[in-house]
Amino acid sequence: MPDIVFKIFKASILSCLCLLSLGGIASGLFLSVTKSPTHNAQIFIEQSLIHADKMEHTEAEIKAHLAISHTPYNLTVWAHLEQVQKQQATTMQTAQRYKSFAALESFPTEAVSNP
Amino acid sequence: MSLSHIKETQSAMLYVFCVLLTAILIAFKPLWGWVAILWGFLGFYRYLYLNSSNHIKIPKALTLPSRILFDLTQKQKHNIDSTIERLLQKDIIVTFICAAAYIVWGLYNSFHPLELELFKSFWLDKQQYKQDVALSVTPINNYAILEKISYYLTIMLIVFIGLTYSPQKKYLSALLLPLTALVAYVAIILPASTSLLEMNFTHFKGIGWGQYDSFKFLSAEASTGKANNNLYSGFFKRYIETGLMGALGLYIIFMPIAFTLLKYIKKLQALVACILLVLITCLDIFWHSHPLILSVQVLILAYNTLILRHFFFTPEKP
Repeated sequence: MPDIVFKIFKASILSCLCLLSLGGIASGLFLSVTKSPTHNAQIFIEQSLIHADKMEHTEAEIKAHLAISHTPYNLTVWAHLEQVQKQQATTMQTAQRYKSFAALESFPTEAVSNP
Repeated sequence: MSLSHIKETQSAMLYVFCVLLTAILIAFKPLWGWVAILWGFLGFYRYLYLNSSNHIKIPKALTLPSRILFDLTQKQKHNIDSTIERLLQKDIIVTFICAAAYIVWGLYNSFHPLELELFKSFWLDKQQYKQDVALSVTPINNYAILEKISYYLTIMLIVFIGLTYSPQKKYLSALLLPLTALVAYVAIILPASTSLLEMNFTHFKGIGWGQYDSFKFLSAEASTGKANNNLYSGFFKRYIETGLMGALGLYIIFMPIAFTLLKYIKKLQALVACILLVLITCLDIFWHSHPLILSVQVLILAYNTLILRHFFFTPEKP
């Protein structure tokens, strides 16, 4: 391999290694200090269901939060409602109330896709 | 024995240690953020080492960290050049180009996904799925996309860094084998996957990175409202997220490396590496997707990388 070609290739491959490393550190830091939006949304829903009687969060607030966090709204709500219904019989009525707005018809999908 | 030689040996040991640590971290709880930081720092350390043999006229200030950390002799500089020449062989170059193309394909799938509704064919005969679940709602999951990119870049870093070590330390690769054997044994005890039975290889594209959970949930809903008992393999998960192209694409990435190993199969280490490649392929296709499978895949990949650096290496000039 001619010397000049080797030098160019060497510089390129070292740059690739440097960029990969810095990219790894940056993305790793970001992933470590932030939580998945789905995870955040699940916590939010759980809290909302627990405090539903106190009306701490309105339907609109929950919808807006899920839309911002890019969470599949209906799927998450469905999963948690099922869980709540099984575990907390006393909150059945609350769960049913939330289930009513979890249905597809009542929720504009555009709001989720394009928050 | 020079100080630089000791540093190089320690650095190679550090690589093996990091591989083992990564395998353990992944097996218990896949924390890709921490793993990416670990490999990012190790990669930058290797970059400084390799850069210290740079003959290109650049300002001395830029090479100061390298000169402080590694005061290399001429012989060692030549060894670094030989290592970089090994990195410039076509099998490695093609592998990295394929890996980059695979990440681009994953990104394309994520930002232009196949609608989840099209996957209804998987459970079309089961009319139980809830109509009020929004099949078409698959918002782009930016966090999952970044996580996937970080995952694939980390795998690339593991391969890249592994190839930069001098091939004279043959025992290093053997250090990985006991843990590989142990984890592989535990992984094989895991239940086999049944996901291949319900596959219809018709979708070229997938629904994008981070959407697998939506599919799994809908699929479970479809199975008479109970939890889905099907165990999905890594291959199937890739098929859902990145389509047929993505599921098979991962094997195409490692084709050049596999051919190089086959070329030297008469050597014991190359034979072991080939057997291990077959093992991870089988685990990926037929076994239940589990962190342990991922862990054994990382171990085998690192082992094969350390074996691979032996071939085409130009020994130092007399």
